[in-house]
Amino acid sequence: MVDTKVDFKTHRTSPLDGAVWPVGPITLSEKKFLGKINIRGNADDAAFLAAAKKALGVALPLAANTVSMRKGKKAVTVFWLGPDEWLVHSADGSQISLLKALQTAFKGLHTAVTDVSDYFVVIELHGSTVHDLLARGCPLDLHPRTFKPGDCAQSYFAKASILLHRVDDDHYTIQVRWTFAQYLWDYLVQSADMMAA
Amino acid sequence: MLLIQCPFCGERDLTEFSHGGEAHITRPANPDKISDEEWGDYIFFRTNPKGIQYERWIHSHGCRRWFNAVRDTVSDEFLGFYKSGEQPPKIKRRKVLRK
Ligand SMILES: [Zn+2]
Repeated sequence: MVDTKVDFKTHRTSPLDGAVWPVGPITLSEKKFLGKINIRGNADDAAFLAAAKKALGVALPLAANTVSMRKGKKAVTVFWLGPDEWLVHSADGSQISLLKALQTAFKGLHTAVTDVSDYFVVIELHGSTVHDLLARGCPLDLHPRTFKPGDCAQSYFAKASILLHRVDDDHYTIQVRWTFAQYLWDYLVQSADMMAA
Repeated sequence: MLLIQCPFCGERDLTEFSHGGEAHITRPANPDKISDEEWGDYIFFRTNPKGIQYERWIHSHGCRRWFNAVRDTVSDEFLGFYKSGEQPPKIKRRKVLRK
């Protein structure tokens, strides 16, 4: 018999395939095909919080606009999106088992768990002047007194809604809708050109 | 730059938010029983005060939650913010500085 199984991973494309970033003090790259899971649930329910922690290996961040991370082999980054909403980033492919683990843990609880991996693209930025670049299109106050490493915020850059995460002083990630990825990338390239001029 | 205090995210730029009109408009309890005029009043007619107004806002580019704000419609000054379902803060009607 012919094996008709298709390896989808070899056929996948990203809207940023072939996107070029100019040489300069800031570097930009795509974190391709991260697993992304959206979680809704009641933050006042201790059973829900315990179940989420069990499935993720790390507690949900309850402080607004913060991130909690699990390092190592089962690394996840959990973002606060709202008082009853979180987003999980995990390694490419791991979202399938993670989704099942969450659904099992939440059995009997009033929750929603949704795989949104293909809805967003994640861009990673490095460089000591990244905040200057971001300030060209984003209204957030990026001063470390209000936006520290470990903080995240939903906002916009130019016309694109984004989820910004300050990983470290000079290291950020931006999550953007798939259909806005090319637009955002081009806008960032142009802004960096203007900074260099 | 006008700042709005989201009850969940804190101070953010006005451009992250969308306005949702007057707050605390109650849907009629017996829609079958009321007149067309009363329906029209519920759907279309608003107080539109010159001065202090209680109104709805959504943090549309941020946490995407609705909340309420108190604003002076003349000066555009925000006088308070509170979550949906909470009691509105008591705002003293201030001496009018304008004519
Ligand atoms: Zn908010």
